[in-house]
Amino acid sequence: MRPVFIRELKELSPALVPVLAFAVIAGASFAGPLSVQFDDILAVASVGGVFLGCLHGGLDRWRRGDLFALHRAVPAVRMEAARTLAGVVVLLLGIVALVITHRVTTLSHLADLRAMPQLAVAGRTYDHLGAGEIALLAGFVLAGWAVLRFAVGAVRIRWALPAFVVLPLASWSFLSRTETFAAATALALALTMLFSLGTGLCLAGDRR
Amino acid sequence: MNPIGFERLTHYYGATKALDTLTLEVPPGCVFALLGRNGAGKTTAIKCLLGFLAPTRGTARILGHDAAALPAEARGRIGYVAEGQKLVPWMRVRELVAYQRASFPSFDEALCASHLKRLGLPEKRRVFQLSRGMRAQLALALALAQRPEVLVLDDPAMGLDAVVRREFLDVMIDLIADEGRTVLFSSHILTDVERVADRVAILDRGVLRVNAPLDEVKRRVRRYHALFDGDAPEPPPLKGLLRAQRRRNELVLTVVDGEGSVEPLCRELGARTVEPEPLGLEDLFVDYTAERGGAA
Repeated sequence: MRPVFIRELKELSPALVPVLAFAVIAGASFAGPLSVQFDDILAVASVGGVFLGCLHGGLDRWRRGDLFALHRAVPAVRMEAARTLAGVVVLLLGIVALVITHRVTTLSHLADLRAMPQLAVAGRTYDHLGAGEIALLAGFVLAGWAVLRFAVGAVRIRWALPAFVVLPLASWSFLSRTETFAAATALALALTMLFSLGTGLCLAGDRR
Repeated sequence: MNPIGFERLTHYYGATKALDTLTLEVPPGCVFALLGRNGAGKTTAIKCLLGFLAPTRGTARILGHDAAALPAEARGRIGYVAEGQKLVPWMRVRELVAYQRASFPSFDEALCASHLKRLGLPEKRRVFQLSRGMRAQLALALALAQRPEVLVLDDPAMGLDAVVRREFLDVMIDLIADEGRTVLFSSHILTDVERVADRVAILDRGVLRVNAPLDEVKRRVRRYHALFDGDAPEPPPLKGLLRAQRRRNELVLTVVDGEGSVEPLCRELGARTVEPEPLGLEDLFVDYTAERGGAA
């Protein structure tokens, strides 16, 4: 479904500038002279996901009346998957930009990427990003995007409600800053994402 | 089995009934016109037929499939053009062709190129740079290049000027004539319908009022002008009476199958002369739909 993917990517491309700008600012400030806690950076970076989620959901909502796009000899699930993939690609570009910015400004920490992934711990001050932090960052940003996209663009809005229950739980477990928060947060994020993306795919036919 | 069928199809928007137990069949190879005033339910019927709307009750069937569960393969055999269809504005014409080709296995690129050439549509231009008429023609060219078995057109020439509309119809007539496709065509522009339709259905506030071959409808419906010496009387009770108008000493009656019954009844009421008049589709449509619609 390359044409649908490319179309979605092009239509999301206006969001690329703010997402990349946001990522660069977050990446640079993380490695700056200020002592910034990882969870603060995470919270700030996830705004990028939420922003793209709203935009993508709005695009989905607008498409509902686009009968030219909907009348295709392609299963609705495949079209939805192609659109979802385009959203993931935009966000991953943002995350890559964040990591590159961070790497450029903290060249001395290049070795950390090769280190064993370790989950982040809230409340600790970080001046570099390891693989564990990057994974958690990506999870948080993608979960924000998935939930918001699903909620804004949902055909049957009640299906979005469980996702809104899970996301605050994830945030709460994160903000409680316990030693075990990372595992709980990661689990909650994974559940939120799976729920949002899975339900979005299952309900793809509703857009017709 | 007929390629298109509606079986007691009913659809509500909230408390408003848009379609009321619509039942009709479109035979294969037929150019079928679905007529009605604004809000009559034409677009609702077409959206239900293509699975874009779930009917409240009843079923729509296309190419042997229930429209509510139309498989992708069947969708590929259906061409669809709607009024003011949102083609992808930022794409160039050739990109749009590629986009369409990727979604329809039966898409004939050579046929599409010949349509575009014939219509004078520049392949390098972006869709938003095309005029409304060109966009309508582009949508038709794309739909026809799928070589669809069924073509569904929802008021595609709406808002186009007379010249562009004529071109659009000429292209459509030429392209569908040879291949015996089934066409379901909804329109407000009755002169266009008269040129292309084999069969017409008239919807009035969601209710099917007429479903017959165009020639038959025109043959069976007549307008009678009865002239009286004094003021025209109240219209007589007539079977098949669609509309009655009193104009001073004239009584104008539009009647289905009134031959042999209207004149004697009017004579009994004192009519001096009774003249039947054949109706064009537009007059016929007005008389069918104006009764409850407030037209004079």
